[in-house]
Amino acid sequence: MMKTSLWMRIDLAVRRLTPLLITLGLVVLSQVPMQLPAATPIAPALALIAVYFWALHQPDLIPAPAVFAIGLFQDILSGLPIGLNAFTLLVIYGLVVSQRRYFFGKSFIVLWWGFATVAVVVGALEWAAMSVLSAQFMPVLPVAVEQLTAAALYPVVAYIFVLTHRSILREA
Amino acid sequence: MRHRPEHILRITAPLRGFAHRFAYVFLLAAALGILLLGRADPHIFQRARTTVTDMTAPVLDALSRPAVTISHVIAEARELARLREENIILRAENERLLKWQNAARTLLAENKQLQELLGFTPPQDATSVTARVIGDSGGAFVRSVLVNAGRREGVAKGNAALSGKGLLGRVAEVGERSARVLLINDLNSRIPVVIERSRERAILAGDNSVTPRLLYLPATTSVQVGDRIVTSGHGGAFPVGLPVGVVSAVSDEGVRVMPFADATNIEYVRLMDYGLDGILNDADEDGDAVAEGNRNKRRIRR
Repeated sequence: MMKTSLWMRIDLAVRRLTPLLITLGLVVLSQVPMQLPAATPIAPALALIAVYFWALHQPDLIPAPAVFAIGLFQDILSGLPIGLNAFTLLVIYGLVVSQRRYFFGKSFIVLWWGFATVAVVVGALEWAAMSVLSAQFMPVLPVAVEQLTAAALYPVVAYIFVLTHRSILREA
Repeated sequence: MRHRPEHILRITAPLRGFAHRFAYVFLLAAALGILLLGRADPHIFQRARTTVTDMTAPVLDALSRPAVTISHVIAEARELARLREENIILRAENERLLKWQNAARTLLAENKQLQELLGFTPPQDATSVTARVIGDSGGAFVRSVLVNAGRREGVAKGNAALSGKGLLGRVAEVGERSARVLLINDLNSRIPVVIERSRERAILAGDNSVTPRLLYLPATTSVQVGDRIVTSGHGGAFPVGLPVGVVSAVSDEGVRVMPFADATNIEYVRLMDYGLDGILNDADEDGDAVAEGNRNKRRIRR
């Protein structure tokens, strides 16, 4: 009896950690050189998708400190100024969590549209921050392309998270 | 009894909400603080950076292998389709290169004799480490790659990174088993170069696009499309004459250079140590690419 309950608790803990682990995995994955011929290097903002999804569906699985950690990890791996993603991801997290009520029971298209908006906001925030930090205007096109790619990729990554979410809910 | 949990919840919920909000604002401020602190002194987080990168390097190393394999399969299929065509082109090129080889041999011999005549001391031989690219940040704001060799393999900050075709960039951060190479088209990259034909000096400045710009050319420059650009050796960061690229556009907006090395599709890099420590010699200023670039500029202008 004791044993099973302990195992169940471990099992539950692992399941609750899954979203965070998957997100960290996605951050690493987005750094892998894809060697695509003639493709300009565009790392899709996979972490952004993850933070948006979980902030919307179950923010307690990725609390603010986890968002902070994800952002720092991404900054370090991608060679960006440390704190940039930590900041933008937290802003988005706060924004989405506060607007959760609006998204309740809405169709997938609405959620997708919501993400596209978030991607634009993040793109603008990062662009502004980088322009200020480097004291010159950064080119806009690469950011725009990056955020559009992220928006286009949303359904695929969201689907993986939907499956993950279901498996967590089943147990909890 | 049934009401109690609800009752407790009613009391603790606002409290927890407050704690959450406080934690959120605190983290937001911390992120902003870190961002500004890192801007003021880029060395503060150097150690954290290299440690985390080192820890992730083995994972990235393993992950990058299948990606490379897939791209190889695609490339091979493509090559198979136009093998005959390629063969003809290669034969023609081989013939042309043999002529060049002859010319190079003659020049080499002549050069050696002339050097002996002048009592010229040749520059120190370079040592090199070949590393695989395991991480390609590929974001919208930085152009750098992670490679799977670090201090353990003898890589040092400031090493020149070359592909088979030309200069790719230089080592900006070194961990124990990984290093970050700042590519020449990164916004923070400034490289003293010279136009091979006219010997005019300039600075090759990246702006995150595929083709970096040439800055500080003399007003009366005769630069034209197709001119080869090589490193000038000024500032002591790179040796003289590393191939960099060819001038791809000359217009009112500036002069653009197409690098020989294709930064979008690198698999292996050679990290060369030429025994130069020019711009990196003061130990307290060894991390900031921008500062290095600026100092570079100053040296050239002088």
